[in-house]
Amino acid sequence: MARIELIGVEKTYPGSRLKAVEGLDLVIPEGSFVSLLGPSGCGKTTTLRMIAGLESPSAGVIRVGERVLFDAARGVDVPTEERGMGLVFQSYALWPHMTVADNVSFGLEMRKVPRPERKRRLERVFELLRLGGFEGRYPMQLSGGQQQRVALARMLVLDPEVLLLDEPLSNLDAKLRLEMRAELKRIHAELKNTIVFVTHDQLEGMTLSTEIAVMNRAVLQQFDKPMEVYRRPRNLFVAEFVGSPPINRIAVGEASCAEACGRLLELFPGLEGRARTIGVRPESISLSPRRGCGRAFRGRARVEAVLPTGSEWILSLELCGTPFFAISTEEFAGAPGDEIEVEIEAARLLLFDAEGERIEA
Amino acid sequence: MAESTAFRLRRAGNRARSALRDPTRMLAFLLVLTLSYLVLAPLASMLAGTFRVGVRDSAVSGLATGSFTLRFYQRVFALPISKVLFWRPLGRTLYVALMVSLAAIPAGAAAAYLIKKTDLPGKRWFSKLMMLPYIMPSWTFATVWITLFKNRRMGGTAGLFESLGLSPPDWLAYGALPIIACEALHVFPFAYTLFSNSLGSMDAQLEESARVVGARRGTVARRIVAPLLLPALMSSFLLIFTRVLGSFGTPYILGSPVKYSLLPTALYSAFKSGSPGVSSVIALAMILIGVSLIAVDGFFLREAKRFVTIGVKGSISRVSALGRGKAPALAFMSALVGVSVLAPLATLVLSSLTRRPGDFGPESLTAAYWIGGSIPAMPGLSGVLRSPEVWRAAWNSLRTSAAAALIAGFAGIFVGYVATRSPRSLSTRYLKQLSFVPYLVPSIAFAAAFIGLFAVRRGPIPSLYGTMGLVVLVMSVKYLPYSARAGIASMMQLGNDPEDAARICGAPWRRRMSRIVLPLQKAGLVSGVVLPFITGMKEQSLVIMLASPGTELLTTQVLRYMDYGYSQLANAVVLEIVLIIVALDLGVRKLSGADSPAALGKG
Ligand SMILES: Nc1ncnc2c1ncn2[C@@H]1O[C@H](COP(=O)(O)OP(=O)(O)OP(=O)(O)O)[C@@H](O)[C@H]1O
Ligand SMILES: [Mg+2]
Repeated sequence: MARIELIGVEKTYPGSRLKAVEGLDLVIPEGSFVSLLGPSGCGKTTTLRMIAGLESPSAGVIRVGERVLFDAARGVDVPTEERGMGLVFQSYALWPHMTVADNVSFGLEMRKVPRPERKRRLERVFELLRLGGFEGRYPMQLSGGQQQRVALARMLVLDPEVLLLDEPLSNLDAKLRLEMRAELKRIHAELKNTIVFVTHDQLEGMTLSTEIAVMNRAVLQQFDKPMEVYRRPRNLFVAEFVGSPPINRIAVGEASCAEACGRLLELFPGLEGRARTIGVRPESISLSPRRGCGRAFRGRARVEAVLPTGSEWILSLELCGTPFFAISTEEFAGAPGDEIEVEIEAARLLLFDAEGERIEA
Repeated sequence: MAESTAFRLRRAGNRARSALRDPTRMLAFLLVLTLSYLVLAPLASMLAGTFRVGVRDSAVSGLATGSFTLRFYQRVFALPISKVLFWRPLGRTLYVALMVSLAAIPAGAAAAYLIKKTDLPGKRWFSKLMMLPYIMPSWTFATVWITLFKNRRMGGTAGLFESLGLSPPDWLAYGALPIIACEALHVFPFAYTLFSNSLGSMDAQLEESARVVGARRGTVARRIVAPLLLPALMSSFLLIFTRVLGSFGTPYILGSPVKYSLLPTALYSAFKSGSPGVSSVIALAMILIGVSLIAVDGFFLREAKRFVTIGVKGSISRVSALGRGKAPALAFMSALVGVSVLAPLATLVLSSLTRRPGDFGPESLTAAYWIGGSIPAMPGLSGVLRSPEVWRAAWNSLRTSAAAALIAGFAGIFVGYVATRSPRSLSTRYLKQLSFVPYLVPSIAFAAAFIGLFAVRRGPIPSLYGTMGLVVLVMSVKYLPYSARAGIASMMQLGNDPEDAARICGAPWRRRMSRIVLPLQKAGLVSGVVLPFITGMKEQSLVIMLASPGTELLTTQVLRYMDYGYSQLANAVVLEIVLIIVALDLGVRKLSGADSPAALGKG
């Protein structure tokens, strides 16, 4: 029912020659929690606003379920107020002259929900978002996290099939953000509406979503389950954008890492000519080699620095003259200057061609 | 712990000596003393005068000069004559202010909406042109109105419509309607500014969220936008009331022919008829009204804080397409600008070039009002560019405004200096409050207070009545609030570090002031001086009671010509003033890149 389909959607803002969104084909399954992920200015907000009807695409079709909301060719453009969606802005955009209760019940009033019913739904959403006791306050009298929850309540009370969220957590401090993430996931599990969530925090995208759409420079790069995006990135941009610490990137043919390159590429006979970049995720570098099973690169690395984060140990290594980051979840007992044995399984290496597309080995 | 008296004395002596050696404290002390005298003494003396029998009153009433009396209060508030003296002008002032608000606020708000929130073509030009009526002297519109609608009741050059054979009725030519129209044309840009600031700072996402939850455009406007504009609305109302309370020229030009007086003109007539006691009481009443308006405004500003919108990241201001509304919107804006800017200016120019209004034939068209050696039908007068009176008035205007502006500007900088050097001291707080007081007092009442104090010799200070010195003094004190605000702002921004650095280098106070502080304050000084200067050039309410044949200013010269019915000459002088002000305004904006300075001042 509430499957969102974007077909060939494009957006060029008036007075600008660059496209803010280009040739976007995306099908968001019903009941999914999709994150739009990408660097600043890549078109995430624009995409969201087009779905909400606050911005008219320059081309393409937008459908929710069976309903056509926008069709450039046929001149269909359903106004925002008739789309029946929910949208939470990054700045919350609470109406400062209304109390919390008025803010939340405004939408119900617009939908002509009778008073007793309004009251019931208000109570339910306040309970869901733990906002009891704040009904009479003005937005200015709330903390950031409370404002954020009111903004969410204002939309959830309408029980929209589609809930759009534009970086709703970015104004919160780290602890609150973590709590709200859990809250969002809980709410999604409970209400089962389709959620599109914009963020440029890749960790947020990874942890929350059922699917991730990675965008860059107005173009959709990959749409997949989070672990797929992580393990099998479509291209170099996606590989670098997700993952922290970032993927180790070795440029083939560069003198400083010639030795490492040569030895890594030996593992892929036949691909030497095509591969231009080799990507190694920090956790793919195994510090306790098991030896013997499958194709793997083995060698000795020198420890340059040890960076414990509390739960894991990040190591700065030098391997065949090339610097690498590795990560270990077990306590690392060595010290800078030590020589250690490392192993990288061939299956966990990522190879990219000249265009930055990943090569399936 | 008991301290010996000798010890305490020594400590007090040391403190006094170090205070004397500290130039900042000396400066603060001097400022407190001077400003108290200039701001408070006139008001106090006026207040005292309302209870004391004057020389003239003594002759009328037989009471001893200088004895205590309440008769002025009685006359103004409680006798049958009070109706003419006070109550009717009060009622009319409130009525006019209300009607001006009703006309100017919707116009200003609509213009602000079109310019801020829609894709109106040419909005930059509209927004620039719309500030012009505000920069022009407030009474320009009155002279234009008279030029157009004057009828047989008044002598001198006929009005345009009269000479076309359409004699305008009195209600159209003089009194309430024209006063309201002219004041509204002058103040609507202010409503425009307030509303466009409010609209500009409003997060577009507030409206968008309402639409997302299902509100239609009309509902969004009514339930979301309108309540958030309430503070702008209240401020516009109060500002317009303050303006009407303080403006003299318009009601004088348009009201006098039919004896329609507002409070400023009522005060003026009382003063002219030789009863300082009565005019002081009226002035006092006006001050009270002024103060309460400001107090109400302050209350609303505090209330409005609750409405401050939170976090606006991610809101690029979005304009909505006018679509089919484009033509009506353009027509509305063109009409607004046409009526408030183009038509008045054209009227002034054409009127100053024709003998008979509306007749552009060869025997009517003339440059005599500008450069004629003598003018037919106006014996003894010559064109404004050859008239010694006008040149003298222009010179007087320039030098008094310049002197007042410099005095106010430097006083402002010094107040700012004291305020930054010792931000929490008692004298700083006192100076800040004190320098704001003149703002509360309507211009004409302020002038009345000054005349009361300086009309006669008091101690070392000679009688200043009838001198340019008094004009300069009144102006500089009245403009102090703007200069002090500018001075405090720019000194605060600079902070103490530059001066302290010079101090560490061993520079004495005078060198620090002349080499570091004042040069760094150039920008602040410009706004603190230029604004009062421009305001002074168009000042009428403040100086009308001070002007006498030797001390005419350009603005009072206009009124003299109007009184005699010499519209062409009056209009030529008005144009001169407008040209000087606009040139100054543009020049300063070029130099400083700042917003229109003239638009901030009073007219
Ligand atoms: N109203 C507008 N008019 C013109 N250009 C715009 C407008 N809104 C966005 N853009 C441009 O479109 C591009 C995409 O903007 P968008 O707001 O969608 O980025 P985003 O991915 O949400 O970025 P961020 O993470 O910074 O919020 C940017 O280059 C931006 O400058
Ligand atoms: Mg964005």
